[in-house]
Formats: sequence, structure tokens, C-alpha cells
Amino acid sequence: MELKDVFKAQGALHKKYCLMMLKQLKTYFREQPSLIHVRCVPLFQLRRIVFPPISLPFLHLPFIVALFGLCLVSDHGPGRFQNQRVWRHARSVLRFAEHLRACGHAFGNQHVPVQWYATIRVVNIAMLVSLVSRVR
Amino acid sequence: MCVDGLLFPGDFVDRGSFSVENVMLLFAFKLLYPNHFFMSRGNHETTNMNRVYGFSGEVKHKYDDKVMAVFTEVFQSLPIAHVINSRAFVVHGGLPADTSTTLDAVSRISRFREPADSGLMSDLLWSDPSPFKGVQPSKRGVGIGFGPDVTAGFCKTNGLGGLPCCCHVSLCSDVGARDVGLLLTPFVTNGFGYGAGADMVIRSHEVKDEGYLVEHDGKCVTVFSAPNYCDQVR
Repeated sequence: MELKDVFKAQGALHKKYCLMMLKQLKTYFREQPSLIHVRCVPLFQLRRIVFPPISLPFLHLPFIVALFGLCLVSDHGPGRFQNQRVWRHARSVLRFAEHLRACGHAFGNQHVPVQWYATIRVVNIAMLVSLVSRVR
Repeated sequence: MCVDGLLFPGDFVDRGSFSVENVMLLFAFKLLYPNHFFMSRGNHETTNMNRVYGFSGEVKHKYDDKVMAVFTEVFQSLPIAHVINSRAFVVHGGLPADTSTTLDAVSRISRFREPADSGLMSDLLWSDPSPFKGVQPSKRGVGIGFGPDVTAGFCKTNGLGGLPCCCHVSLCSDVGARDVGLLLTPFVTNGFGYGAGADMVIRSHEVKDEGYLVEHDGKCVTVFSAPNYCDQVR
């Protein structure tokens, strides 16, 4: 199936959640300075890689968007986001996530503290990317 | 302290029919990894460019004017530049004409607005490196062309250097957007940057056949890793 057809078949991110994300990002960015200082951990301190190896991470993200529609998964049950029901693909993502766990794939973001976005866990897209790239 | 991360130096939209999906995916990553995933503003995160190059129309088609207005507010809130390990200055366009410009001045930019036709903010979003010394007018009509002496002067003025640079300019593919993929993952250092021990300016803004180009004696690196730019190149 052409990517375009996949998008048409899957629909779009619901406006409500699009606005929700944008407004939270606006608040976050407004608190940041115009110049951000980033410190990287030296090589010898690195213990774990979150993202898959180079060249894999973003190769198939459009596919992921198409297949899963940027699904956000909350801690409060399948198909819910901040205790509200989310669009139809959330359940399929949850099932896929369960399938990954059953296959022994650990999600790679467990050591990353989710701070101001505390109630929300986004499905580890990087892991999905890695797997889908193999499928393709 | 960032264990590993990704930095996207601008231009997330206006190229292709799925800009909304692309930028929302990047925003989702930012929400998930606020301290590992970094985004800065490009010249296409502006109202005029969105209107001319199609993002505004796409958003209004997929959503409505209200959502576009919020997109604009988010774009205006994006940081302008990053400094990695006090060594690499990462910005979308390039450097300003004045080599005495300090990082503090960049940090104090009042950015919650559209960039003017000229000035520091405009230069950072629009300028391009030039092989010739000094400052030249930009072929784009906005920003400047800055030579190797300008790059060296900026790095010297701001003391870029001193700490080991762990950044690696990745050749990873894109999400349909432009200028994607400065991978900060420190476990890979087989490129310029770490080995060269250089203080440098890393920018995007221009298509490069190989995905990147090193100029100005290794002090200026252009990163452009979209393999299917404008749906024209495979």
C-alpha cells in the first residue's frame, strides 16, 4: 500500500489532542532561554542507548505515524489519555506493545524520567521503528 | 546532563504533504524526552514562509485557523540555538556579521515574534557560509554570507572549545522534514567533531548531496539529511 493510502486509511491526529500537545509545548518552550546549553555524557559513562543504532531511528517514522497515528497511551487504561478516551488506534498500539513484551522486547525508555508530562507515556516509537524496519 | 539525544535544528515543515504529521511526531518526542530531544527554530518556522510554502494551507485543510494560530505561537517559542558541551554552536542558518556577537547576546534574543528583515535573529535563521573571507550579501536577500574568518572569530569570541565534544553528526534519515538529524549520541565518534577536536558551528538550511558538508577548515558543518527532499530525490 502506498504511504499516501495508508495515511488516508488511518486518519489524522484528533484536533483536541493536537491542540493539547501544542499548548503544552508552547508553555514549555516559553520557559526556555533562546540559547540552550546541552551537556553530553562522555563515552565512558554511557550505560544504555535509548535509540536504535545510527541510520535506523528515523528511517521509517512516517510509516509509524501512518500505522499508529501518534498514539499516546496513558497509565489509566487502554485507549485513554489524561483520563479521556483517545482515538481508535490506541488499542491496536497497546496490543502491539503487549505483543512486543511477549516477544521479549523491553521498552527502551524506562530509565528516562518523565517529568512535567508525568501522566503520559508515549509508546516507544523508536522500538517500533526498529522492528518495523526489519519487517519492511 | 544528556545521556544521548537528538537535536533538530529547524525547518520541520513546508516540505511535502505531511508536514503536520512530521512536526507533531517531533513534538511528541519532545514531550517524551524533554531533556534528550532538542528542537530549534528554522527560517520555515515563520508565518511568511508557512504561508508561501504550504504549511499554513495544510494545517487549515487538516484542522483550521485556530490550530494554525497555535502552531505559530509554538514556532515563535522555539529556541534559536544550542551549544553542545560548550564546544559546538548549533543553529539553523548561520552566524551574524558581527564576530563580536556573544552567546549571551544570542541568549537574550527576544524571540517570541517573527524575525525582522535584518538583525541578529534574522542572521541566525537565514545566513549561509561562504568560501570567501568576510561578509557578503546573501543570495536569499535575507541574512548574510559569512566567510571562514567570521566563523573563526565567532568561535574565538565565545570560547567554544575546551571540553571534549561528544557530538556526532549523524547521517540518519529524515521524517520527511528537512534538516533532520544531528545525533548527539556519544557512542559514535567516527566522524568530524570528536576526532578533529574542533570548536565548530553546526547548521542546516542548505541541501547537501552527501547529507553534510564540512567547510571553513572544519569549523563549519552543514547537516542536511533528508533523502527525499521535496519528494524529488530518492
